[in-house]
Amino acid sequence: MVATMTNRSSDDRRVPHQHDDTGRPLATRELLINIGPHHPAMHGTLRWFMKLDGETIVEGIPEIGFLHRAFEKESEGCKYNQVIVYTDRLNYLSAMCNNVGYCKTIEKLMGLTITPRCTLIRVLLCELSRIIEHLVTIGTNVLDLGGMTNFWWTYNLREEVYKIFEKLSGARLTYAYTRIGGLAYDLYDGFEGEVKAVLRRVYEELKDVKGLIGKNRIFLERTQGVTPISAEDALSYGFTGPCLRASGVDHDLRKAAPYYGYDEFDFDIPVGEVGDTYDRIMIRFEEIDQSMRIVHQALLKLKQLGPGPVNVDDRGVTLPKKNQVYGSIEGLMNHFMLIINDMKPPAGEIYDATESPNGELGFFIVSDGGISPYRVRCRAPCFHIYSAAPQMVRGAMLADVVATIGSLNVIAGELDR
Amino acid sequence: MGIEALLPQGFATTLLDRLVNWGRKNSLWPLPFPTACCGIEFMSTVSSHFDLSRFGAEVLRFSPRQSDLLLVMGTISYKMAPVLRRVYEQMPEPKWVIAMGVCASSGGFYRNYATVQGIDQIVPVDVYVPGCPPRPETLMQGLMMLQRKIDGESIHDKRERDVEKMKEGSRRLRIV
Amino acid sequence: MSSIDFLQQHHADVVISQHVEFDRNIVQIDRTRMLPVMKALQAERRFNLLIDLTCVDYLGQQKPRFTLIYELYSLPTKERLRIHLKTDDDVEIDTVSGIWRNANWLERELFDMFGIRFRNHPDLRRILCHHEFKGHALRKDYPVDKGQWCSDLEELTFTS
Repeated sequence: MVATMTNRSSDDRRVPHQHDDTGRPLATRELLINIGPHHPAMHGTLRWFMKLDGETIVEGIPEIGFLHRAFEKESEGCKYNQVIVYTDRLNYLSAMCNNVGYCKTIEKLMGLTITPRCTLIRVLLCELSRIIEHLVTIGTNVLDLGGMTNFWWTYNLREEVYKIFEKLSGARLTYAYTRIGGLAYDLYDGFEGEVKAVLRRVYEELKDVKGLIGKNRIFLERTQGVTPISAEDALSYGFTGPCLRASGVDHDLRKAAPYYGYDEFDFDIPVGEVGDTYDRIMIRFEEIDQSMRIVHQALLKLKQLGPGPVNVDDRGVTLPKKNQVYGSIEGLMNHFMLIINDMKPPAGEIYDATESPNGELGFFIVSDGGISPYRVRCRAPCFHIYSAAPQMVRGAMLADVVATIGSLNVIAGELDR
Repeated sequence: MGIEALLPQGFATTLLDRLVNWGRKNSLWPLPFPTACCGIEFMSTVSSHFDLSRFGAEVLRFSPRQSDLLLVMGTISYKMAPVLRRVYEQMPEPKWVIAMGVCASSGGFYRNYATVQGIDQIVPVDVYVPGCPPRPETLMQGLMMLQRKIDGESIHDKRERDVEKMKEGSRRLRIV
Repeated sequence: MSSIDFLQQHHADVVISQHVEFDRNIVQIDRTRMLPVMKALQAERRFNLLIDLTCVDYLGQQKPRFTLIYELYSLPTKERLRIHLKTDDDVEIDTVSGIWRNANWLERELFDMFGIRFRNHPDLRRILCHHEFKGHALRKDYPVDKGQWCSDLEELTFTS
């Protein structure tokens, strides 16, 4: 476990002044102010209605739902493989993790075991997605505090990874790369070299990014001691992921309930101390380092494994190869039946979760044995994390809200589904 | 109207048109209205790799009073529709609207109880940029098409759009 | 002792049925006496994380039509448990927002999407759909493409 939180200042937080310099009480009134939903600091579409005493927040009411796109209702009208495209848009910063989470749940429902090569590729892509999501979180969070340079730097790194994902799946942001039972395509030649080059660049440039803010007085003053949340409160609000680990609770699904062979990878879980904004931002730097370790190990394991199939060898699940579709009547019929009727999982209900960059991303699926799911429910990590925001901002200053919401990494696509 | 009413049609106003349009199209101040995934591609577009500021559209003003190009990026839900309308009405003339992404153009692949099927039911749109999300180059092409459209405008044109002719739903939006 | 044994021993009158599905213990309990059971699960069995609270509408397939699903996780023991509660349209369920605080928003979402009311909830109003929305969207009898326009932002007020 790594905890490298340095430069902790023990200064007391600012106290609101109710008296002027001569000691006379100031006549003040509370201000009701509406922030958002269209606002530069509200990541996406979040609205706050605040009661302010000067700059201090007495109480705040958040309002969400401005990006509600009826993911759950739409999925009930889709076939199982078609839902993958909708899952991309949930947490759009790391779309690969949503794809993998959903496919993992359906595969467990159907009792499918994916091939070893597919497992390693999914782990590798999830960790790459974790890296790029944390890069954006750090970049936009520090941008909200006023540090614009980091935003350009982290976005350039993200562009490099976009190039890899685009070569792999055809899209930069919303991939729909996984399929139930495997993946859409295998890796391309030269993938390993390109990933290693990108990681080398991330490693070098992240030192610069951290160097700009690590000892910066403004950054430290604006994040240390700001809106802390204790471990007990965090658990009571259902926190998972980096925000929970920043509060000192060492819980990570990749270690607590390992899946996809995570117990064979050598990596640590960074844990914070106080649970304030500083911890939540710095823990993401550490998580990027750990994810890079996992990616390097995954590349090595892929090389040792050698080439192989990425899809399950099951005609009821995997599309046949194109030369069979165009060359034989069985292949054509198989392709036709899968596209028109898709697969029919057994009736039942299942909940399965993965450790996404934001926390525990779970899918609860109820199947009635038909070609469409009866109920699809996405357990969005930032919904639970954001429900603690009213308590966290009480007593903080207005400018702290901006830093806090950024550090909680609230993504409206996932929050509102 | 303004000084435009006093100027006669002819060579002088055509030259003035060209000057005014040149100024307007090369210094569009965008008002980003990011809601969903297209917002992330927009952030890529303004980042140093693709760099929207080459087209003069660098100054992102998040205040509608100080901008002239409304960039709607992402899905607009019925809950967000009055906000979009109010922000559009707060912008002073001349103003243009780019609908970025298929969700803003037509609702995208969301056809449900929560998604507006295209922002042209709420605000008049000048350029539709398709894609889910559109590549940064696509957005830039959309911006260049808008610049060509601005080239064809004249200061004699009536600038107020006929918002009353918007589709039925938006008439229920309350304008303050 | 596992949580199933604990429930059978100490709260046998509340447990209606139990089974295992995909490695998960699923217990169906009586909705009218669920609050003490939930409190015991959180306090004594240390289920400190309410992972999820959701609902499935089995309109036409079962009566009562809704099944509430509580997905619980215990950090110290790493145990997962799923609780089913069958409920209907006009029935109020006790809120668990005093036990797990994220249930506040989760129950608001259930009210918004399914119309399930929760007794003693501090602030039961819509969370995802707009305030002028009529009906409950995730019910099986609500058509998927019936959109409803909203005329303006909701006026929020402070109660205290």
